Amino acid sequence: MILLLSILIPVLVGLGIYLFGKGMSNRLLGAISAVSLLIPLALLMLVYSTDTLETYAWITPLGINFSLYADGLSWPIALAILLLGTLASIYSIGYMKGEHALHSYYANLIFFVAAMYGLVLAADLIEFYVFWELMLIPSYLLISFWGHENAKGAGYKYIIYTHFGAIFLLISIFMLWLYSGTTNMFDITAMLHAPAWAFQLIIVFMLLGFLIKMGVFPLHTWLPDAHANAPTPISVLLSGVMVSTGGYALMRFAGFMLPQLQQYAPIMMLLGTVSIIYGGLMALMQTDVKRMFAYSSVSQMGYIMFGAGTLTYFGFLGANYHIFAHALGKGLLFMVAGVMITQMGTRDMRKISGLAKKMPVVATSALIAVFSLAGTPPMAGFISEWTLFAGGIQSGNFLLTAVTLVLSLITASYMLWFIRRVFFGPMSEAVENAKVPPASMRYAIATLAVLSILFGLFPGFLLDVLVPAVMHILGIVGGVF
Amino acid sequence: MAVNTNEMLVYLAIGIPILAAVMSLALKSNRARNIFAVIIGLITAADVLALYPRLASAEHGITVSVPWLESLGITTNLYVDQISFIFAFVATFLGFLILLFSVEYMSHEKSTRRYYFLMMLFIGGMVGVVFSDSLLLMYVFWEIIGICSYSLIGYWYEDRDNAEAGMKSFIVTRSGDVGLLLGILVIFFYTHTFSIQSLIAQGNHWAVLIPAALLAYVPFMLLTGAIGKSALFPFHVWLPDAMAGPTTVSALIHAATLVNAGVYMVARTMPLFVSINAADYFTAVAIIGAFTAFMAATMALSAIELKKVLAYSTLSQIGYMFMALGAAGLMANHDVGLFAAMSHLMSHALFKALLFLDAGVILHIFETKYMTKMGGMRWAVPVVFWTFIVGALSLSGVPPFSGFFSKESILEIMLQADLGNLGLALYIVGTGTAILTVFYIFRAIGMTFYGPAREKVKVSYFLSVPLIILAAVSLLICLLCPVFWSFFGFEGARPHPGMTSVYISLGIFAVGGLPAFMIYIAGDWKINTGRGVAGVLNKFLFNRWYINKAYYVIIVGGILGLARGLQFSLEWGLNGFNRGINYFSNLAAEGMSMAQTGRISTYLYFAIGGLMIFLIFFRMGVF
Repeated sequence: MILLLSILIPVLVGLGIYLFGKGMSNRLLGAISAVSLLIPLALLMLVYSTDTLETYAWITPLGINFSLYADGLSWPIALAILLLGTLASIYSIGYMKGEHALHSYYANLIFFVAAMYGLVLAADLIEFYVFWELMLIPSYLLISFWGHENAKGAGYKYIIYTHFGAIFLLISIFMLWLYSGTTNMFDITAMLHAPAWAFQLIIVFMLLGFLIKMGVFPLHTWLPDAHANAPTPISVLLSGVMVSTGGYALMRFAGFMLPQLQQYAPIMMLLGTVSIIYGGLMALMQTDVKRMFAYSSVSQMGYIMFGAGTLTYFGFLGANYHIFAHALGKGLLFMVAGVMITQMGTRDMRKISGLAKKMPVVATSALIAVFSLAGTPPMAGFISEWTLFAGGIQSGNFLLTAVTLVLSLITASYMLWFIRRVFFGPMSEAVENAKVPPASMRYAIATLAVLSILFGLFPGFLLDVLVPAVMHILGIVGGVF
Repeated sequence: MAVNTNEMLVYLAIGIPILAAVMSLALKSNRARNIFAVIIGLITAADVLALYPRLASAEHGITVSVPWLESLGITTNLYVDQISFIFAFVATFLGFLILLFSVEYMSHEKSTRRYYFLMMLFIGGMVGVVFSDSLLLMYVFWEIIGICSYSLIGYWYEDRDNAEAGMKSFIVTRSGDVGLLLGILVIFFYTHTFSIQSLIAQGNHWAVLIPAALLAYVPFMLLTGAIGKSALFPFHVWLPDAMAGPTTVSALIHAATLVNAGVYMVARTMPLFVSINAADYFTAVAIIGAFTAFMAATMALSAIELKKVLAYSTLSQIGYMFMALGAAGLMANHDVGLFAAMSHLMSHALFKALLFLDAGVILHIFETKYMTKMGGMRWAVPVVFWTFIVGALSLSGVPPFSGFFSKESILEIMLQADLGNLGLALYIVGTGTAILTVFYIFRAIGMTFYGPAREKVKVSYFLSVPLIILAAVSLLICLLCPVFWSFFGFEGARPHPGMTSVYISLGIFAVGGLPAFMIYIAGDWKINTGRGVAGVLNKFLFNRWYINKAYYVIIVGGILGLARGLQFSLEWGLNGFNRGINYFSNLAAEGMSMAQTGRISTYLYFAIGGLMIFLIFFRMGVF
C-alpha cells in the first residue's frame, strides 16, 4: 500500500492543481508540488532496505498485474527521482516567476516525476512500457511550451527520437513475452526459452531502446537539443534522472538473459567509452552553458553504460551509484546554469566570468558538483568511479578499462575549465550587474552540494541496499570477485 | 567500541584539523580564525608528537580500523609506523609554524575564511595520506589534498592566470592519479584487499594472484601517481605554475608536504616491490629522480622569479629523494637508502619551507615577484637575510647544516658496490646537480639581497619567530640523526658522512659558489645572457626546455583540435543525417498523400494491386 500511495498522491495532487490551480500564485504552486513529491519521499524512506513488492490486479485476462517493487536496484534511483523532483519544484519557484500557465507547468512536472518514479518501481514489462511512454508526454509538453527559443523543434526531435527508441523496446518486450509467456519480471528469467537468433534480436532491440534514452553516442543528437532548450528545472530532471532510467532499465533487463548478454559486454563497454570521450570532447567545444552540460550528460551516461555493460558485481554497483551521484551533480550544475539565465540573462559562458566573487555559495556548490562528477573523493562520484572501474577489471577487459580510466581525464578537464571560465577571473559586465538569486534557487543548489558530499562520505547508506540486490540480479551466491 | 590512547591519537591527528576546518567556517572574524587556527595547528602537532614515544618502543606500528565501505565487506585501516610518523610530523609541525606565520602574512586579506578552511583541511588530509593503510583510503586523502592544492593555488582567483595554474595543477596531477587508481584497483581485484600491511605480510604471495602479464606493470601504475603528485618528469610542469598561490601555501604544500606524498608512497610500497624483485621499477624510480634533479636545477639557473627558483629547486631535491629510494630498492640493505631518502625529506622540508617563507616576506616588501627588480634586501630585513643564508647553505649541502648530512648520504650510497654502473652514473649526475644547486641559490641571493642598500623595514614577530625557529631546527636536526636511526629500528651501522664527504661537499660548494659569488654578489665577472651560446642556452632553460610548450601544443592543442574536428564533421554529420531523415520523411509523407486522392478508382487500384501481391506471395508459399 505504501508504494501505491506514494505514486497516487503526486498524481492526484497533479490532477488537482491542473484542474483547480489556475490563478494560484507561483509560490503556492511550487510549494504544493514540492510537498506532493516530498510525501512519497518520506513513504519511500519507510521501505528502506525491505524489498517491498505490491501487486494489484490490472489487465486480468492477459495475466498482467500492476506491481510496484522497491528493491536495492530501484530504491536508490527512486530516491534520486523524488529528491530531484522536490528540489526542482522548489527551484521552479524562483526560476519560473512570471511564466505563463504555471498550474499546468507544475502539474506536468509532477506527472513527469511520477511517471519516472513508476517506471523504476514497475515489476511488469507492460507496466514498464506504459510508464516509459508516460514520462515522454509531460516532458515533451514541458520542453515545447516552457522551453527556450528553439523549444518546439527540440521538443519535436525529442519525442520522435525517444518514441523511436520506445518502439524498439516494445518489440523487445513483445518478444520476451512471446518466448516466456509472462510479462512478470520475477518469472521471466526462469521461463525464458528462446532460440539464439531470437535472443540476438531481443538484445539488439532492447539496447537500441535504452541507448536512445540514455543518449549514448551515436544516438545522442536529440539530447543536447532537448536538454538545452527545456526550461531549466526540467533540464535538471531530464539530464539528472530521466536519461539514467535507461541505465537502470538495462541493469534490470540484463538479469533476464545474462548468459546471452555476456558476449555483448565488450561492445556495451566500448559504447560507454566512446560516449565518455565523445561527449567530453563536444562539451569542451560548447560556449552555451546548457549545451555543455547536455553533452556532459552524454559523457556521463557513457560511465553508466560502461559500468552496466561490464555485467559484473562492481560494475553494476558503480553504474547504479553513478546514476545517483550524477543526479545530484548534474542536477546542481543545471541549476547553476539556470542562475546564469535568470540573474545574468545569458547562457553564453564567454560573457560570464568572476562569478565566484558575487555568488560564493553557488560557486562552492558548483565546484563540489564538478569534483563529484569527475570522480574525486570525498564526493559521491568517487564511490561510483572506483567501483565502475573495478567492474571493468572484473569483466576481464583490462585494456579497455585502463584506456577508459585514462581518458576519463577529459571529464575533469572540461568541468574545471567551465569553473575557470565562469567563476574565476575578473568580473564581467553581466556579472557586475547581477543580483544574488532568490532563496529558493540558492537552497536547492546548496542542498544538492551537501548531499553530494554526504553520499560520498557515507556510501554505506546506498551500498547496503545495493549489494544484495546486485548479487541477486547477477545470481551471485558465494564470493563477489 | 573501546579505543585505547594510541588509537585515539591516530584518529585525532586526522580528525582534529579536518573538523576544525569545518568549524572555522562558522567563525566570524579574521582575528578569531587566526587564534583558532594557531591553536589547532599546535594541538595537531602535539598529538602527532605524542605518538613518538609510543612508536619508538613498539615492535610494529599502530593499526586502527575505520568504519568505511563495510557494506562491501572491505576492512579499512589506518596504520602508523615510523615512516608515516616522520611525514606526519613534518606536515603538522610545519603546518603549525606556517599557520603562525599566516597570522601576519594574510592579515591584509578581507576574509581569511576560505584560506584557513583549506589550510587546515590540507593538514588533516596530508596526515590522512600517510596514516592510511588502505590504498583506497589513501587515494581519498590523496585527492583531498589535491583539491586543497587546486583551491589554494587559485586562491586569488580574480586573476585569470592564478585560476589557470590551479586548474593545470589539478589536471596534471590527476593524469598521474588515474594510473595510481588503476594500480590500486588491480591490486584490489586480484588480492581482494586494499591493505598495504596485509599485502606486505604475505611476502610475495600477493604477486602470485595477479596475472603475470599485469604484474610487471603494477608498480609503474602506482609510480605514475607518485611522480604526478611529486611533480617529477614528465609531470613536473604544474609545480612552477603552482607558485601563483600565497607564499605560505607554496611553503607548506608545494615544498614540504604535498609534493612529498609521492616520496611517501614509493617508500611505503617498497617492501611490496622488493618482494617481487622489481628491479626495472626501482631503476626507473632512480633514473626519473636523477633526471628531474638535473633538469630542474638547470631551469633554476635562468629563472627570474624568486619563487620559481625555489620551485625548481624543490623539483630538483625531490629528484634526489627518488634517486635514493630507487637505489634503496636495488641495494641489499634497503634501510640505508630509505634512511637517506627520509633524512633528505626532513631536512629539505625544513629548509625549503624556510626559504619560501623568507621569499614571502621579501615579496610583500617589494610587491614584485621578479628578482631582477629586487636587490639590497640584506640591509632592509637582516633577519630574513640571515635565515635565508642558513636555508641556502643547508640546500647547498654545506657542513654542518642538515642538508649536508642528508644529501651526502644520498650521494654516498650511489657508490655502493651492488649498484654498479648505474650507481656511478647517478653519483655523477647527483654531484653535478649539487654544483648547479649552489650556483642557482647564490645567484638568487645575489640578485635579491645585494645591490644598493635599502632602508630598514620592521618585521613582525609573527613573521620572524617562525623563521628563526625553522633556521635553528634546520641547523640542529642533523644532531638527531642517530636518534632517528634507532627510532626506525634499523639495524647495522648508521651511515654517516666522514671527512671525505666534508671535503667533497666543500669542493662542490666552491665550484658552484665561486662563479655565483663573482657574478651576482661581487659583480666582478660579467655574463651576457642575451646572445651567443649563453643566450641560446638561457632561452632554452628559461622556457623550461620547451617541455611545457610542447605539452600545450601537442596535448591541449591536440585535444581541442580533435574536438573541433569532430564537431565540424561527425556532430554536424549526425545532425545533418537527422535533418535528412526529416526531409525524406516529409517527402514520403507528401508522396503518400498524393495517393489520398479521394477518388474511388485510385483506392480500387491500390486495393486490387495489394490483393494481387498478396495472392502472388500466397502462391509462392510464403504464408
